[in-house]
Amino acid sequence: MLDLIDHLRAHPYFKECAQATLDLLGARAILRHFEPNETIFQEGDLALGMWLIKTGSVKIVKINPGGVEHILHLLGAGNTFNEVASFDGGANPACATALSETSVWLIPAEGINAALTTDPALARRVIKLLAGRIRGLVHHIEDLALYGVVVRLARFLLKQAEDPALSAPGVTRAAIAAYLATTPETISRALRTLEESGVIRFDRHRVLIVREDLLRDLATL
Amino acid sequence: MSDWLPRLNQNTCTGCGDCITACPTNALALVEGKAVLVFPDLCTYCAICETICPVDAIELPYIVVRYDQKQESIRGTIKYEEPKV
Repeated sequence: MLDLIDHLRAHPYFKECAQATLDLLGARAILRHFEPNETIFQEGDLALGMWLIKTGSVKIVKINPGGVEHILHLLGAGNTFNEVASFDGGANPACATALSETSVWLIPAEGINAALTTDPALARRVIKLLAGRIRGLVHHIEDLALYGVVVRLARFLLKQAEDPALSAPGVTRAAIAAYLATTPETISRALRTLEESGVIRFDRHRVLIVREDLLRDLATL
Repeated sequence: MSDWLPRLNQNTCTGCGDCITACPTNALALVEGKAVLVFPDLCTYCAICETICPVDAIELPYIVVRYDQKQESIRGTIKYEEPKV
């Protein structure tokens, strides 16, 4: 429980919450463990609440009837997911799958809603962060609709470098391809292009951003 | 030996052997009809196995980090050269 309270306190939603609010959320939270590639929840199922990652990493995906998946978010320790469904009481809008051994707290929707009712400052922070999430999705749609693979990949690499938890414990070419709506082969070619230009370098399992200035130019940022 | 090694999905692997033939350091072998990383310390993480696998049963995880020239010279793993761009 103390561990969870510490995690909640570190999260932008809850960092300024009163101890009583954190205790209320902590008392209702359930810690769950998942193996790599294990489904946390399915799209369309009734949402149980909001999830907070303790350790490991999670992908949020939409899957078409042919089984092709598109990754909406790659998330690491300290990130939350499925807020939307826990706030609107609807079904899960996408699937969540563990990418590695992952421990996640489920904070039931009724606990969050009770906390929102009693803590208006929490409600304001949630609105602000949800607005940020919508902005992120708009940028993602912009990337997919308007830019080529190299630009999208450059933006992806910068985002990963800014938040190392996103690529912990490792992101694969297939996952990058599923996030950028392309194929692993295309990602391999684009990575090679960046490597040959001296923008990145491979050091075994590490993709090193050697020339961030050039990568930012490529990303048109 | 590094903790970072190719992940081989035994459920997806068809045992075609393409990765075993392609592996430049002979780190892979067929065990009971499936590709297995039998010599992980030989693996150089070149990603040829991942690229060649026809059923995407092999994955190499990466982390993305900013290059820190000072740290890298301490680590001594790679040397920095001005990129030719």
